[in-house]
Amino acid sequence: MMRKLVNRIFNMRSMQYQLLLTYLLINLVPLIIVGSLSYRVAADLITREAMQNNDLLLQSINRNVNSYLKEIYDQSDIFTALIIKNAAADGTSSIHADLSDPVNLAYLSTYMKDLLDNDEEYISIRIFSDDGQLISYARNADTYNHKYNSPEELTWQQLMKDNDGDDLIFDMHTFEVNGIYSFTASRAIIHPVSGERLGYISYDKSLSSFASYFREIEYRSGGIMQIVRNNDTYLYHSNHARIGKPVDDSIRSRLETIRADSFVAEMNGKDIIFSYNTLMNSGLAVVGSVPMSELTEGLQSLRDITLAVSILSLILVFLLSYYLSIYMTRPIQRLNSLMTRVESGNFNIGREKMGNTNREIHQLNNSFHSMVTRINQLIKIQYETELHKKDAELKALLMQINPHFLYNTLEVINGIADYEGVEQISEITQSLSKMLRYNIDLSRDQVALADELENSRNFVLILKSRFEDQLDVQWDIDDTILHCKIAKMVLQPLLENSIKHGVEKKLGKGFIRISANRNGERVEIRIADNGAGFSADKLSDFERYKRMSGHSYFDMSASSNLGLKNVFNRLRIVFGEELIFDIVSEEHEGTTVIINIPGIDYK
Amino acid sequence: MKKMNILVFVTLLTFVLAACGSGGNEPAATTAGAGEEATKAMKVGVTYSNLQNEYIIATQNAIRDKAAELGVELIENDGQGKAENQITQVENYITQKVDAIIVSPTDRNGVAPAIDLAVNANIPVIILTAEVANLDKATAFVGSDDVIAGKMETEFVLEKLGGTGNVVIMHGPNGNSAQINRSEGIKQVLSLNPDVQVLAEQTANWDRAQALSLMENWLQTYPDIDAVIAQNDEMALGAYNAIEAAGKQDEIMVVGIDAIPDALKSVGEDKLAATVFQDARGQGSTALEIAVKSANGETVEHMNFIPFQLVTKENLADFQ
Repeated sequence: MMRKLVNRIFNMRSMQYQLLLTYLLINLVPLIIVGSLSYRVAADLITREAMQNNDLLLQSINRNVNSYLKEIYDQSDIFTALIIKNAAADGTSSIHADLSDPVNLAYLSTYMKDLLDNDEEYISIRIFSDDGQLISYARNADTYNHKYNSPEELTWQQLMKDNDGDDLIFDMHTFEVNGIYSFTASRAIIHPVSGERLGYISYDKSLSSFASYFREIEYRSGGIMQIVRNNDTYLYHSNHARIGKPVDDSIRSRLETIRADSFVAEMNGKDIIFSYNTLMNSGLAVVGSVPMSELTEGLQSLRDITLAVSILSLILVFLLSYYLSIYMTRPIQRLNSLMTRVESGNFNIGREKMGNTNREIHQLNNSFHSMVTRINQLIKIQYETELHKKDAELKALLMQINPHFLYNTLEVINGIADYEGVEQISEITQSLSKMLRYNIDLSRDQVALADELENSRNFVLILKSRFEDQLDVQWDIDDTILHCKIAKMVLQPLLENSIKHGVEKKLGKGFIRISANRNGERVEIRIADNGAGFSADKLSDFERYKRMSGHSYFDMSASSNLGLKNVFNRLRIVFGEELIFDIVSEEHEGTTVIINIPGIDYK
Repeated sequence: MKKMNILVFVTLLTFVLAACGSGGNEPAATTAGAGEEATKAMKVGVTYSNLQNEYIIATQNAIRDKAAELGVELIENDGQGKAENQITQVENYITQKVDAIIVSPTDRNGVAPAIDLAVNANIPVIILTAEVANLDKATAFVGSDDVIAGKMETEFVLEKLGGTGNVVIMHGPNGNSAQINRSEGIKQVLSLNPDVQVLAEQTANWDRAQALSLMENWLQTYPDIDAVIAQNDEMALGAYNAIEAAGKQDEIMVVGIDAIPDALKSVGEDKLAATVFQDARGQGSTALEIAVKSANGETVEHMNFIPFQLVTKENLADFQ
């Protein structure tokens, strides 16, 4: 099946097409393979790099979140230590410490103000007694005065009170409805020795202090950061309005199955890459997502470059292949057309310029031309040889008959006829005698028109005797052209044809008209009869013959008879291309032979 | 002739490949002031937060004009939104021994180390437009009180909504001082109006294209948004384009801050509802003036506030 296909598109086409096809295939196939392979590899690499980058980013965010929490945790430790130190300095040997003690409070205030002054991420610090009473607080003067009475705040205080352990509890909430978000973390203050819970300390930090860790992700167009607590609600979401709200189901189910993963999901028609991992001790899961298109920006330009280069190469390859194929095949095509001309018989081809081509073609061209020249020469020789041979044959033939014997016998007949008074016989024999002399004289092949006409008149006289009234011959001769040159034995054979193929074959009277007129510089001779005419076949046969005679090589067999073709040939030999020889004939109606030759004087 | 053709093609191909290979960002050009003084002209290094932002470009133009007027030589650089870039740029200025440095910071905390560096090198450093964490260490601040800007635009929206409705808020980059302060202004007003619901609030990083993308998402997720409060004009315009593309421009109101030329044009065409004029030119030229003064040893005011003004269709003519 493949073979058939190859056959159909490849074989028996022009050489140029084959070359072009081959060049294209040879160049394009590797180009396409290499191009697409390298694009694939590069694309995979870039995507993998991008995803790996994303993972690393998330890991560092993890670390940052951990250290953020730890920092607050450590702060509360400092605070606890401060109280105990106080108590010891106080001299109170008791293991109790009272937060509401004014001296204590003074120290607390100093501590809190220092912290707020040094770190402007803190919005406020509040200290509660064990049963939830606010003892003291300090706030960052730049932020507006919060009322601390939102429902979230109250819920939070309850959580705080219920927190028996040592842990830091934290959450994100707003101080007022539609208010500013803060990251609130609280820890119980526990006496390190007695284990007694003295109270609570609650830190409020600005949202931006927390969110600044996520800048790398949120900076990208469409990048979203989510921090999920206990697989349940959002501690943080890039869309702040979703903070505290329940987590998307799709994320939740994933978090429940694997602790850390990367996956691609489709949202709103775009591919989004999600990466997440969980922080064990704090129950938080950090989920970063970014649209695939952002990560693979580089890919887009890679694809564009690859495409552009491919197209350029394609065009280049095509143009080169095209010009190359032309370069290779044009000389061969030229040579081909030359050969066709020679094949049809025209050996007179000029030497063609081959132009820029390779050595082999040049050699081919030269050899071809010398071959054609040689053939031309050989044909000429052959032709001339043939001619001479026929000539010799004719002469040999005629030599068999002794002409003198003929003449003498005719004289005798003439004498007897004269004596007996039969003038007609006398005339016939005289005419015949003259005709014979004319015919046998092989020394010339060109004569004056006057001679040919004389010969023709002799012939017509004899004919008249034979046909009597059945034949009517008219003469229209221009006297000024009698000295013009013509081939010998032209008019009489034509007249003979008129009789043989014309008058003899038809019933009724036969008309023959012979005219010879000046036609400018030329001479026109017409022999018209009303005979049987040429059939269309014979006419076209003769036309073809005339055409073929333009070439040096033609059928020699016709020279043995004095027929139409022979007359034509002999006229051709004398006048060459200048001869115009036409036959106008209609079957059953008549024939006119027109000979138009240049008017050259016979010398 | 044929060989010539081939050579031409190969050359073309090489050029195409070479052109594709190059690319990437170019840092902002170095400009020289108009001063042709025989003595050494004063050199001031300026690092801009992000020259993709029209507002920042306006401040740049103001600084350049003032520098030309005073005959000061400027060395400028674009932080391209990254704090690390700005730190590096300030380091360079210190090495080049400039007479003063102007910083329009992209991040409150991230750029703070740069201020420390300048202070330690005893070069006056002026903070422009946005704050840094260690603002009190800097020589001076020139800007506008962003809290007020946030309040202005939100009050406008609430008045138009009649005190109730659904809003979405577009933030600048989290941690940017303008973002923090404008958020505070916005929230101050909103907390007094509990009937207003905030459906979503997220950062679009001051960027028009990001805002467009974000708004498209929001339009799909939240069908009944009444207003968009954007913390700057670039984001407001991006959001408006998304809304217009969805055919909802008659249902949703959009406000911004900065009054950049595109925004003013938009307000004039009844597209953006309002914006808040931040005097970029005033900020820029004041910053340069103060820089020159402090470089000459004069004392300057630490905090220099240039007031905001609300711009609506009614008073648009004053600002064009």
